[in-house]
Amino acid sequence: MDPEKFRHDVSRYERPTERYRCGRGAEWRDPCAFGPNAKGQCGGTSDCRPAKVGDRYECRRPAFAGGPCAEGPKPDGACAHQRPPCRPRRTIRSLRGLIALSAFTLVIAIIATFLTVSQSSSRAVLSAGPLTGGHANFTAKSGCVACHEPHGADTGGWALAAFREDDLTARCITCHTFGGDPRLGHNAASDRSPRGREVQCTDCHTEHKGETFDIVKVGDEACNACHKQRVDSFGENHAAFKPSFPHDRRTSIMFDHVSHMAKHFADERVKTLAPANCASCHEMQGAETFVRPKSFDESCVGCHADVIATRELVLLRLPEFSESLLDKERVMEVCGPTLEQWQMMMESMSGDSDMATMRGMMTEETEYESVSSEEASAISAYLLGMPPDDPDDLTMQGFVWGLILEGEAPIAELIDARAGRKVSDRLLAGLNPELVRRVACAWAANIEYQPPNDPEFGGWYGDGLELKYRPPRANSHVDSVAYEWALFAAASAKEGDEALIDFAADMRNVVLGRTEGVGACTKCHAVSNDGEGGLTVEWRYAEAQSRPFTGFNHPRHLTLVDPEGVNLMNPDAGCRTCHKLNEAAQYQASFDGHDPHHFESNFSAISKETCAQCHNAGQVKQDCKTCHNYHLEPGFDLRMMSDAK
Amino acid sequence: MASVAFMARPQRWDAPFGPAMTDADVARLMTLPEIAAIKADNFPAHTPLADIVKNDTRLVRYEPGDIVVREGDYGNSAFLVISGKLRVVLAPDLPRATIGRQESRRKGFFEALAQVWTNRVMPEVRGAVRQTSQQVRAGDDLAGSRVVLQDVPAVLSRHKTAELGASALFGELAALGRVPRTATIFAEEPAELLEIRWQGLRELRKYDMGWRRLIDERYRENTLKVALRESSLFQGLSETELQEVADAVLFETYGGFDWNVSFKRMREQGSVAQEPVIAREGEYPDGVLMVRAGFARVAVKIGNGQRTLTYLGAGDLYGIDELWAARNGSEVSLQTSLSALGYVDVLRVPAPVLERFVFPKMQAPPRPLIEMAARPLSADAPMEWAVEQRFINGTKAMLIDLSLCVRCDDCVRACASTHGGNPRFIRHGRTFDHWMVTNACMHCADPVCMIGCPTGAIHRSIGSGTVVINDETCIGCGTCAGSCPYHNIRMVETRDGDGKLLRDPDSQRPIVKATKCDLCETSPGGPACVRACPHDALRRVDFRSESTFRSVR
Amino acid sequence: MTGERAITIRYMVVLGIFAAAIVAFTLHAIETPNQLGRPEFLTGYVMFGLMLGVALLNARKRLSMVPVGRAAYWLALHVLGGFLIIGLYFVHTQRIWPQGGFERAFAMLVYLVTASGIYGYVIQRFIPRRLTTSGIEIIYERIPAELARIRREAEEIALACTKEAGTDTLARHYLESLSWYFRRPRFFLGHVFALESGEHWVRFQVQTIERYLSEAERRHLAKLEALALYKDRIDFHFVGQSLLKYWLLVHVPLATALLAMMFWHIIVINVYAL
Repeated sequence: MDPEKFRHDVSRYERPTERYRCGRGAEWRDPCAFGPNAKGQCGGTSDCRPAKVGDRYECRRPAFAGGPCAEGPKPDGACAHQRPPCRPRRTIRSLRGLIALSAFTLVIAIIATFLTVSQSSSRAVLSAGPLTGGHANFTAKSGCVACHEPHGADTGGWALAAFREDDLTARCITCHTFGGDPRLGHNAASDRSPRGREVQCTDCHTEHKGETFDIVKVGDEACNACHKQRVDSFGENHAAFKPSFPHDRRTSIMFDHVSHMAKHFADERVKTLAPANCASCHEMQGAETFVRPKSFDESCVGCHADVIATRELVLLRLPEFSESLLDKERVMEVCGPTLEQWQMMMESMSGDSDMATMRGMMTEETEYESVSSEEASAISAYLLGMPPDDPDDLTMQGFVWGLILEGEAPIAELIDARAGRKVSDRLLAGLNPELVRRVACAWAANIEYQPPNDPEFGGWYGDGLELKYRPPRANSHVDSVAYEWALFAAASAKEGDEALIDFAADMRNVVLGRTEGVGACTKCHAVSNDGEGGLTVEWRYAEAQSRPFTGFNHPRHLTLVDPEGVNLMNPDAGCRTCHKLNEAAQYQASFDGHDPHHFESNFSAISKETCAQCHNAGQVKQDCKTCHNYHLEPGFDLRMMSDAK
Repeated sequence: MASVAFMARPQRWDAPFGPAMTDADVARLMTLPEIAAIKADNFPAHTPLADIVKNDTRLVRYEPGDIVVREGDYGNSAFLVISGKLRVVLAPDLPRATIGRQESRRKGFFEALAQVWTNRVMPEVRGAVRQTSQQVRAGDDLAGSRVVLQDVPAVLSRHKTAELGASALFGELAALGRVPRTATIFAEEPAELLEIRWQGLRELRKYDMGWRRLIDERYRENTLKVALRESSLFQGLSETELQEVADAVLFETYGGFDWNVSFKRMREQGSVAQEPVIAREGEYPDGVLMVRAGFARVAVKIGNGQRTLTYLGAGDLYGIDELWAARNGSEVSLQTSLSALGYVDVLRVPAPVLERFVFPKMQAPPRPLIEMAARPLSADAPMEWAVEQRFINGTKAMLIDLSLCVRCDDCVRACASTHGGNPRFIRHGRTFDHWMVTNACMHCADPVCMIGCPTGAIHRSIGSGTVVINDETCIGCGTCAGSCPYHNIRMVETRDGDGKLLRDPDSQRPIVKATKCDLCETSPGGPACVRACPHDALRRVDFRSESTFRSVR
Repeated sequence: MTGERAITIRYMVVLGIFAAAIVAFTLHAIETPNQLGRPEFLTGYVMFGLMLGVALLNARKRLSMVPVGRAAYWLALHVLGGFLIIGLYFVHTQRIWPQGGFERAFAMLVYLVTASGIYGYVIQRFIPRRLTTSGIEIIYERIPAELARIRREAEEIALACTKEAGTDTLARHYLESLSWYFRRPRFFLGHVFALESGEHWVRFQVQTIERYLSEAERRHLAKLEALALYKDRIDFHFVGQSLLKYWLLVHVPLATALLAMMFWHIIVINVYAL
């Protein structure tokens, strides 16, 4: 710019705050010096407003427009320099403000239009995105209101909802079910819930992220939000596993892997029966966290079928009496004479003795000497409440008399009384009353019962001083009588009379004894405290319920490399990567007591380092959800689906 | 593109100070005792005493209450009382409003914020009332207007005053020394005064011993010792020693008092203004020169021209390097030249005085001026430009770095929003490299705009020294706008509250007011333009500062 | 302090403040357990605050009369705040391109506003330098008047030439070709890309006519050429300053539209998800 143009009388203040500019200038014609007024009208149709001084007009053109002009005003006082008015334009700045304001208004107008035109158009400005397939399906009919309650409200309620907390979780759990309160941490009623705050589904799960969005996928940050021990990397942050992990509870079956592998499977005699690898006994099919052992009939029966039938239950045993209190005559009347008496009778029949003489002879009081020198059975001791080594003769013999008269009924009565309910029919299933009577008659006659035949096939039988049960050989592993007796014993009295408690304990030792218990059940099935002072036999494979939120996918790990580089496809080698035998462990001793948590596994504990070999930074994935799950027993209420339709 | 208009070089006395002066007046004045005492023979033939009286003085009459000079005014004339009685206000000072000043009060935050809605879209709206202050008495022409004290008896009772009667001379220090007037003087009774403009005063001092003694003695008494005491050179001198120095010091003035006029004219003609030489390179120094007012250029010969090394302002010394070197054995002539940029008031301290009082106590002077010649020429180019354009006068010039400026006009809008919707500067101006000095008031060290304001509407604010214009007492004469050599004062046509242009009912001429940057004197937070620049492109600079042109690139 | 160092320091300061805020917040988030889920609400509201904050730059420009901090700081906050917003935006949405119709429009605006902002910032940093090299400086609003003056002068030269030389060769060429050039700013795109199209055109026109001109006429032609080249530099300024002004015509309206969408988004979120 020519410096001359800076002159104070030529260059006027530029006013960028003005909203209009000269229309002539905007068209690249010569703009006038005056410019538009504030209202946007042309301010320069003439160069000046001549002043009347005296009787003539004087030019008053300002300096910036060139000063007084040579022509001077016209005679009527009009300026000589007239122009047609221009059409002033907005300045860029004011245009910008106008457009900006319009843009704001336009957006609001568009939103308003979308809201009012139709449902689908209103959804376009309300919905954050399409729902996942499943959710989209079931909300197709009911629409947004299926989850968003305010959507159904009128405008006022809709607006008010902005200031109210929405309970979306309440809508979720109409279909989704959990093993506990869904608003508690991990759905479990524990004090571990996030402090002072309920958990909402939307804390972790977000919808409206597209049809194929993985709504279930949740990152570690969700876990770290609550857990004090922040885990960013399994290898670095995760706490070490418990020293006993994962063997913090006794197995339900006592199976000494060490002795079996080291000794028994190597035994020449059973070599053909020995399993080939872990999978021979453990069911890989369908396994995930837990790899169940295969059934007894698949795995154990080859070697251990016989042992069941060798372990008998002694129901009754004739104890030693100091004197016989039974009326021999009546016994004979009911039972008939014993063989001895019959012989005597035969002899006397051949003689001339009359009946009376004969009867007297038969019932003749000879010096009593008990045929038994044994103790009573632990069962009877418990049922009758008498010490087995010193039973009350009268009661005991009365009991025997009862057996003579009523068969097994007195036993059943006692059993039901002890159990507190009717269980005797199952405990005594297959017990022939006649057998009971015969055995009792023999005992009443102070003689050993002679079974008519060898009880080869098992079942109830009498033998000398004992009334016993032997599991039948066929169908051996599932013997209901032995099973019921084990249950009965396990549940036997644990409170009340102190003596009775002792008798019960004795009976349990017998029935549930590892070496002589009936059917050898407890040789393998662990007997554990039931937590209420009693015992329980672990019939079933026990899944560790203590870790509901932790899992391990065994099949996926199956083909892991054995550290020694053995056969990749050998599942056994794979197992051994983590499950290492611990030969020093006192495994069997763990089953001596009844505390399932006192346990020393055959296998060494698995440490975090084992997992961290692969699950570590830069290696295999290590996010929380790899091993842990959040929900407790997640389920789905199908009825809701039909309701929703 | 400027078309060059040739005109006769203006001659002295083309425009007499008082056009109304008649020969009878001159004859009467020549009989005044103070003038009659002058030996007319001492005056050269081309400037006879009578012509000086005729052309460089004028007769002015004051009615009671009329203010003759105001404290803080810059003036270019002295007054000789012919008749009547004046009063000089000694203590306390008159309230600033009564002498036509603006009461500079900073607005509070919310008061300033209120401008968001009080600012007008219409330019230059003033309230219809109080277009001009009641204090102003209109004169024959705009420049003849005066500020009037409303209640003289009250002023006399409340303030300590001294009487000035016939044959009293005052105002000569301000006129010759270019310093603000130190006191307010008003007429108590109708008075007739002879106003002598600085040119005439200088001739009188030059050619008449009586006037010279009168002026110099007063100067020595009032100003000299203060100036000496403030200089680092004379620190540690006792009162009597200082008196001896003061007695020996010579004072000289160079350049035209109204340098701005000639500078503007020269610049408009495209030529470089001639600068009176104060000291010449190669000559031998006879003393140290101390600049007391104005600016002087320090230059050395280079090639075909003079290279500016630096410029000196009030308090700066020249020649000390060479004298010190000479004292220490080496014989040294002046290494640099010194020339006056505009009007310069210089004190010459003779070498013997230095030798006796100063050098014995002095350490070596910090850095000889000549050392600056070692810098590359390009480093000094912006400074050379600033000197050439006389921007060195500015203490708060608006400097824009054009390589950062995005031309968003935020500074202008900020200025407008701080001043009722009206900008007070234009974002154009002279450029050099990527620097631009905009047409915004520079708040000059030597505010020539303040000379000749008839009502004192333009003045320095008392606290900050900012040059401001009191809109109420401004009568729109345009003297200041015409004086400013940088064209930084603009006359604006004012409007009433309805947005109609205000016009004088008689002449139909618009009511105009002088406007300019006031550095946001009344706003909280200092200059809004600086704050508003989002790109760090705009600064208010003192051209004397070293960092003015410090470019980081 | 002016200049680039000041700008760098300013940006560092603001960046430092932001970084400190982010670090403090992250530390706080790490130190505080039980901050379950919903980080998008937090990031969302932080973004809301930031967006209002950066939008305040516009308000700042209207509040110049009060000391509310230097605009340079506001701009630094605006620029860095904008970058922070786009960063937070990704954290907030976890995706580049959302699913819903509204969300897509919203995302589009976020990107456009950011992109236009970046574009604006970049041209603001280099166009001024380019303008400085033109050697002239002119206020944008005065360009029409200046062009009109140049045109007047050019026409006068053509007329004077005709009058002096008695032939209308130059005037004819002026009418045929040059008048097009002097009518308004020309070679907009050429100036955008700092090409010398205008200069080239002028030289070409001079070449075209020169051969037909007498010595006297050539003097006029030289004057006309100088004028044309001067006008080319004015054009250059017009283009540069236009670029500096017009980008805001995109950025600001988009930003206000974005603000409107943001308000609606927050309302919907509060009604449906909170």
